[in-house]
Amino acid sequence: MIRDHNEMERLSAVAGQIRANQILKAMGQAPDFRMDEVKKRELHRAKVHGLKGGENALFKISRWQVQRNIGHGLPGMLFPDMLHTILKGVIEVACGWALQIIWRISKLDAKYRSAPGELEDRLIKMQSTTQAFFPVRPYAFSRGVFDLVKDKAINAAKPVSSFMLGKPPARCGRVCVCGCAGMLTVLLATMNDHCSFLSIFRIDFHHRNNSRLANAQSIVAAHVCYWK
Amino acid sequence: MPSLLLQLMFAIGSDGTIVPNTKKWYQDLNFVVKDTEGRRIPGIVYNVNKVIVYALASALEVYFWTKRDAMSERNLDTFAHLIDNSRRHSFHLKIVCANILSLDIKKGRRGLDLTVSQRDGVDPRSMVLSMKHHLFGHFPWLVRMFGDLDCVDTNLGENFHKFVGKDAFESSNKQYGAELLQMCNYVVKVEGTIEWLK
Repeated sequence: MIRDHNEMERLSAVAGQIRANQILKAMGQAPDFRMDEVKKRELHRAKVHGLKGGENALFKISRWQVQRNIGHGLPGMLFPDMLHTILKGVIEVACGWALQIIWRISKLDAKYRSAPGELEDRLIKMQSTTQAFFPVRPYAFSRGVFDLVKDKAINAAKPVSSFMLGKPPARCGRVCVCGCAGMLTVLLATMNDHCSFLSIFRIDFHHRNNSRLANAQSIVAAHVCYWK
Repeated sequence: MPSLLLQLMFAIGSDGTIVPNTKKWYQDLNFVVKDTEGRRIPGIVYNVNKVIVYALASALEVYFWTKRDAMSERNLDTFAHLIDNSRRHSFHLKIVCANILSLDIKKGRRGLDLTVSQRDGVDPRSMVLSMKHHLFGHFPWLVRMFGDLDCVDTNLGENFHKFVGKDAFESSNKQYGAELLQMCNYVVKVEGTIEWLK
C-alpha cells in the first residue's frame, strides 16, 4: 500500500478551493459557484484519505497510516521522550499496578485488611528531604494515595495502564530537612548543569513558587552552620 | 511520580505487613496455565512482595540512569541491561497484578476461597507490555546518536507551557482580547521576582 503524495496534495488543494468557494458563496461573493458531482467526489476522496482542505497534506501521513492500520501514528514517528516514556509510562504503571495489588489483597485477605492504611501511615511518616535522593524530589504525602487508582480502576479486573483516573493525593507541602551535609553540593551541581537545572527549576517552581530562593538560602545557612 | 515510586518502595518494605512476603500465599491460590500441548500445569509461584519491590526498584534505577550527564560505551551497555531488567520485572508485576485482580471479591464475605483447586492464571505467552515499555529500550541508541537524554525530555516544554500558558491564563480575567496582555504581564511579573533569572 503506497500513498501517492502528489495526488494527496492535489486533493487537499482542490478540497480547500471548494470549501473556500462554498463560504464565499454563502457570503454572496461567489454567485457562480455550483457544487456538482465531480466536486462532491473530490471532497469525499479527501475525507477518505484523512485530509483537511487547504492544509499541507504531508502532515496527514500519520493519519493516513493509522486509518489503514499500518503505523503507530505521529507519536510512533518521533523519538520516545523521557516524560511520556519513563515518567508517564514505566514508572506510572509500576506505581499503579503495585497500588492495585495492595488494595485488592487487602480486600481479599483479612490478614492484610489494614495494609492500605498502614502504607499511608508509612508514607506520611517518611522523612523526605528535597535533595537527598537527587534527581528524585520526594513529596510529603498526606492521606489519599489510593485516590490515585480509586473509582473504576481500583475495582477493575485487569491491570490498568494509566492509573491517573482518580484525583491526585493532597500534598501538605515539602518537608525540607536542612541538616543534610550533601545538600549544598547537590544544589550547586544542579545549578551548574544548565539542562538539569532548568528542568528542575521549572518543576520546583510550580510547587514552591517563590519559596525556592528562601529554601536555597536556608540550605546554604544550614550547611555553613554544619561545617562551623 | 518518581517520588511516589521511591516512597512506595520504602513504605512497602519487606516485613510482610503490606503484602505477603512468602511464596506460600500465592501458591495457595493454585493458579494453573496451559502448556504448549494444552495441558494444565501449575503456573509460576511468585513472592508478591518481592515482585512489587523489585519492579519499583528497577524502574527507579532506570530513571536514575536517564539523568546521567555522560555515558561511556560500557555505561550504555549497562544502561541497556538495566532497561531489559526493568522490562522483565514489569512483565512479572503485570502477571501478578492480572492474576490477583482476576480473583473475585465476594460481597458480604471477606477472605480468600482456598477450596478452589485450580484457577485459570494469565498465560505469560499472551501477556504483552505496553508500547512505552518497548520504546524506552531505544534510549541507549538515542544517547549514542544525540548525546544527553535531556534533549528528548519534554518536561521542560510542558512545565514552561504550564507557566506561560496555564498559570498565566488562570491569573487573567479570561476575557477575549484582554487576556493576552494580562498573561504577558503575569509572566514578566513572576519572572522579575526570581533573582537567578536576572
